[in-house]
Amino acid sequence: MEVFEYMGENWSYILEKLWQHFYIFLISWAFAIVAGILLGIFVTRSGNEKIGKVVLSISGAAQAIPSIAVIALIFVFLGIGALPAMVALFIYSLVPIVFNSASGLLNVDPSVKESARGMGMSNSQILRKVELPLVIPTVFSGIRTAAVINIGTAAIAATIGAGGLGEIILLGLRMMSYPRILAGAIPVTLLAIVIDIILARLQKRIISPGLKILQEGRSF
Amino acid sequence: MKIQLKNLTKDYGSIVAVDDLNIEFDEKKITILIGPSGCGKTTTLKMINRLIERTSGDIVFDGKSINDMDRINLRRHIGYAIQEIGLFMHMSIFDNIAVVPRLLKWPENKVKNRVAELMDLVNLDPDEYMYKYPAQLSGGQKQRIGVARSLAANPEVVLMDEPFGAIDPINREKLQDAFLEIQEQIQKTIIFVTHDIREAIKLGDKIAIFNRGKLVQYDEVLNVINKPANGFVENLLGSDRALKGLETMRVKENFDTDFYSMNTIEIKTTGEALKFLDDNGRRYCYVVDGKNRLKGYVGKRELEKRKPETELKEEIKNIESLQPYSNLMEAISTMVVAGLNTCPVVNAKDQLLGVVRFKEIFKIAASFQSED
Ligand SMILES: Nc1ncnc2c1ncn2[C@@H]1O[C@H](COP(=O)(O)OP(=O)(O)OP(=O)(O)O)[C@@H](O)[C@H]1O
Ligand SMILES: [Mg+2]
Repeated sequence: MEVFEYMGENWSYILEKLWQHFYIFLISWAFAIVAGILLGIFVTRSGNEKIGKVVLSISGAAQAIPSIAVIALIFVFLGIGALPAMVALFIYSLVPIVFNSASGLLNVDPSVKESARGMGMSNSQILRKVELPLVIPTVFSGIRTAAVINIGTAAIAATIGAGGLGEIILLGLRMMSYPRILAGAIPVTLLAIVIDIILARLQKRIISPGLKILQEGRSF
Repeated sequence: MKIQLKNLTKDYGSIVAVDDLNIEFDEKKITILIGPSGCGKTTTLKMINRLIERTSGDIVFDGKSINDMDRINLRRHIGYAIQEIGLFMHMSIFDNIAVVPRLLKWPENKVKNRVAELMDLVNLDPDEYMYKYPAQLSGGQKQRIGVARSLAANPEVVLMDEPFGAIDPINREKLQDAFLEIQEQIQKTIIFVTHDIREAIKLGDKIAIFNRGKLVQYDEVLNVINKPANGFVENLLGSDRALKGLETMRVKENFDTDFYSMNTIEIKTTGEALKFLDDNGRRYCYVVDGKNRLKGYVGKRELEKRKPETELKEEIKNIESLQPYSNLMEAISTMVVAGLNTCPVVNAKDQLLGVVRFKEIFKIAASFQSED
């Protein structure tokens, strides 16, 4: 119970680190969502099929790279601090979002796009009214994955001076102090869980009921 | 709208998919494009709404070349339905049907009325289905929505590429019947692709027969059957021309309206029903409800075994029925399977219109044979 004692005594410090952690997560994740979806759209437009294939196989493979390797690479090229850490987190979160957006868009039934075109939708209308709504479930699951790995990786990014809750854990490890380690680890875990729960709620809300019925029907 | 294809050609380099095609489609009629796989039916159809750009030749709408039209605007004014249907799974049935009207910026209350009207037309209860999603519909129902959607903005021309191709035979016949009933109401210029000769004969006013990108014969259905242009067309038609002749004739023009039916509003018990049969000297009789919808039939022998005060509703037995747009070939096969000498005819709303008698069909078939 030393943990809670420690946390009680240092709550403002922990809160500050929690905020820092949340902040680097949120910024890098938000940029990754925007960039990931745009990139996913770009590589799946007609004419870009070749780049599309390359991006898809790179992002597919990149999902297997351990986070520590990305952080190490960023350290080599960009050095130490919160900004390099955010760049690393951005890149790391980008991967699942790009992969899911691109593969989702590539898998939209061609006959659906053809009937949209045949009814007189322009390319941008087909994208906005048909393709994107259809791939929301896939894209969203990429976004959720990205959030969870981002929060976890942000803790490791403390090694290159990102700050955040990882810093408390690192100090704790150095001092062999379990209360400190846990005082960092518990809030990180809670943060990841809370964000995931919020996203799960949001996902339920924004996915069209028509697609939910489709998914449920298939899983039987 | 009058559509002419002039020297229309699509050359893919590896293959000439459509080769110097000249056709003028009849207004407000159904023209069937038929031929073996790869003969260029789909390519022809898609050149008309510019989903495929032609290599040479021209397509002329009421004297105006397709070159002078905006591609997107053109598509919004031509209905389009395909075998895969391509419904938008994330949209409700309402939103699916409303796509083109909304693209054309119709006011929302007009859209709403139109959607309800179309759902009625294709026989799907708007109140029940409007806010359902495609995933909740059967294949046949989805196909009906596909047809409704293609008609949504009231286009003069509708292109259909094997719209009933993926439906099982029984439901396909029903859809075809409903489709003909709809066409009688809406009178569109319909260009309809199929590779099923029976479907072509049943639905078509005219048939255009293709082989390897070339037009082999283009004529009214009966003329094609009676005077096939060459061996290829004869082959396509199959051997038995008397029976094919029956396929061109509809139940609609060949049913009797002198038949007996009793109404569940007036006749409520088996006793009353027996009296009705006796008064009219009948052994069997059809039963309809207050809206003249066929409920089935009752037989004298069975009724006599019941107490007179038994409710008539309990005694009604199901019976097969035909639709006005079924052809006589389908009528025969239905009647043979159901073992009926006389078969009731109902419209899409199940209302009893008349009866078809086996003997009469036989006479017609015999007359076809002797003409040969
Ligand atoms: N994009 C393309 N590139 C090259 N050849 C093509 C292309 N699209 C179609 N073809 C060829 O053009 C020919 C006509 O194709 P089309 O789709 O019009 O046939 P179809 O009559 O509709 O056949 P089906 O009954 O199988 O649908 C076929 O030989 C097909 O292989
Ligand atoms: Mg085809």
